[in-house]
Amino acid sequence: MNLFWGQVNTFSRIQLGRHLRSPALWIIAIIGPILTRFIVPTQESSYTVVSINGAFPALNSSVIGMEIGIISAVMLSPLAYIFLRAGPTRIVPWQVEDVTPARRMGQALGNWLADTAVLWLIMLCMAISGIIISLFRLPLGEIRPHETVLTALFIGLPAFAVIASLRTLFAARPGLRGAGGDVLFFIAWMIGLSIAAITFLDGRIASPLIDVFGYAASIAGSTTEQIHSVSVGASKSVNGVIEIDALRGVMTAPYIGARLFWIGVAVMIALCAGFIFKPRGASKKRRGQQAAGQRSKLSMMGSRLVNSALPKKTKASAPLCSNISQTLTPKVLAIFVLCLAAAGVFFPFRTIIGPAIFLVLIFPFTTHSARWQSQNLTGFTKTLPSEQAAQYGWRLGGLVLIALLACLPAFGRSVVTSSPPIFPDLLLIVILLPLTATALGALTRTAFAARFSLLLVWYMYLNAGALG
Amino acid sequence: MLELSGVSKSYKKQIILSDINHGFGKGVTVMTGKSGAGKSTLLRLCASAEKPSAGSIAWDGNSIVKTPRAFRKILGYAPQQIDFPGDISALDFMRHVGALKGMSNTEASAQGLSILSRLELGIDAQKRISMYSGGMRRRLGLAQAFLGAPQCLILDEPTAELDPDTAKIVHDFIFEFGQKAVVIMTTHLQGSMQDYYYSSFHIESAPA
Repeated sequence: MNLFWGQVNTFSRIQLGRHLRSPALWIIAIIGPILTRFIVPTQESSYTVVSINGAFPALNSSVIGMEIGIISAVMLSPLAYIFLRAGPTRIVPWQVEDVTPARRMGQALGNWLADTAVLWLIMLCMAISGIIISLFRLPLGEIRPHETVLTALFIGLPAFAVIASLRTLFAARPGLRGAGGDVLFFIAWMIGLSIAAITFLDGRIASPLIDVFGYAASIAGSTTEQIHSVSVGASKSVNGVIEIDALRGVMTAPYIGARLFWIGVAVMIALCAGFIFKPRGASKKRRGQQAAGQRSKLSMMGSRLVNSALPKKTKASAPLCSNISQTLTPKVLAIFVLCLAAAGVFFPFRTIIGPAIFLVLIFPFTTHSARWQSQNLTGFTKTLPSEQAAQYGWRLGGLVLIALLACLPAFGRSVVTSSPPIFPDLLLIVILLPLTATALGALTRTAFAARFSLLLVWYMYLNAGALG
Repeated sequence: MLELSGVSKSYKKQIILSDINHGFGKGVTVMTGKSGAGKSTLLRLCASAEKPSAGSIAWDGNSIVKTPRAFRKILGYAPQQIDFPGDISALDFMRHVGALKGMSNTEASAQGLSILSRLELGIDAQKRISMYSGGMRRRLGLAQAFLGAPQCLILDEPTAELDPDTAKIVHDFIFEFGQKAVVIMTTHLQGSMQDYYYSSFHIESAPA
């Protein structure tokens, strides 16, 4: 047992040290509190970040804490996840780690502790900045710092502990270390938010245990009025002001018990990550196929398609063609994109084809955006005659061209049939998607941040289409 | 000819190289010196991957520090380590680097295959780089440097991780190329190069 805790201690200290030495953490720790100025609008502001039954919660110390806690737990948790997956601890010496006799549970728990500690540190900075904000928002006699801090931390800390545990879990399995984990987190995040909203709204009261992010349960417990609607995120306040006691919402025994429960769940998930851990490296079957040079028929068709479509003899377009060819790797992607593009002639763009093309392109685009970005690879590519800026240009150009070709049949259909204009959709898929992928790939040197951000954008785009 | 005049390099307060003066002419020059003497740093400076803290580096009289682009058109550089994108084939990697060197896809494919074959990677050219062993990656890193028939070849430990037979194949290729180009390289296998004619350039550790 001593050995186990020794490993937990070592791994958590090493990972925490890496976080603390990283400028990224300190930048976030500074930006976060600055952000609280916007998270806590004044009573006279034209917007509110948390509205209850369409009304602005009357500001007091605990409401300030509640707004900070809810926005952090709900809106900023995906960013926290991005920070952990793309941050300073993303690089691990797995070639060595995977063959050590270390207990995987100890390693996973240590990593989770470090990640949680860092997110809690950021949350604490946000809560303390809430006290500073209250100096400007409230009369001096009404400032109760402990209410701000307690409310913010009770809501935010367990949510961040769960986020950190999901990161640990997704780092444990080969299929979840990349895009699979991002998609799964995205789904888990949406389910967590939706279940709480569904079970607490329309006047229903449920157990706070259901609310992993702690937002709906804290709001439900803060007022005796029946709640018909809750809005989290910037929205216009329409129904005046509602008086609530946010501290009462988080200081009930069931709520505190539920928050402790979620911290316990986070610990269990981290331990589970150690239990199901599988070393890196391709599966034996895939390795065997690759070693034998075997490729599927679809992959060979895709390869032929890409090779025949791209010019080979011109020097000027060679970098563009190379980027297009690599983006469509594995080549079976070319077949998928072609099928989707062809489907654009038959199906509506806004609700079906647009979101489908967007979703399919997110993964190859973000992978390609990071493919040539590792530190010592850029150290080498900058010695090539093509300038770095030109290399980014070719990369972006390749992505734009693929997206444009994928959307072209649908665009033709919309012109011929006088369907609703799809220019905003084209702008999103042909310009914003490649630009975001290229920019975030270059900034973070990983595919992760771009992939996750674009999944969020895709979700909003999908909903916008569904709502008409 | 690559000319170094008074070249120094320091990171913050740590001096890595101090007042290096040397001219590299056609043929192979092997850079020697203790570990940590700054051989790789000097190669990076010569390859325009970094700028010197002081002094100048010129190719045929033109500064590669002020105007690196012209020099990069005739440069082939193989750093000690490259994080290869593992999900593309070696030939795709060669095509990409070739395209960035101003070659057409056809040219880069033909030349790339020829170089890979010469380095005994021809049959593995279509394999994903993730399937490559350490020695194969080393040769792939070296192979890209030969693309476009550069006039100046800078190679950092091109034979590291290679067995003696493969190292000999690599040496043969490098020295054949060195008959018509400026080749600057480091190696830990100087003992196995007795059959070749080359110049040596020794670097002393910078004074603390």
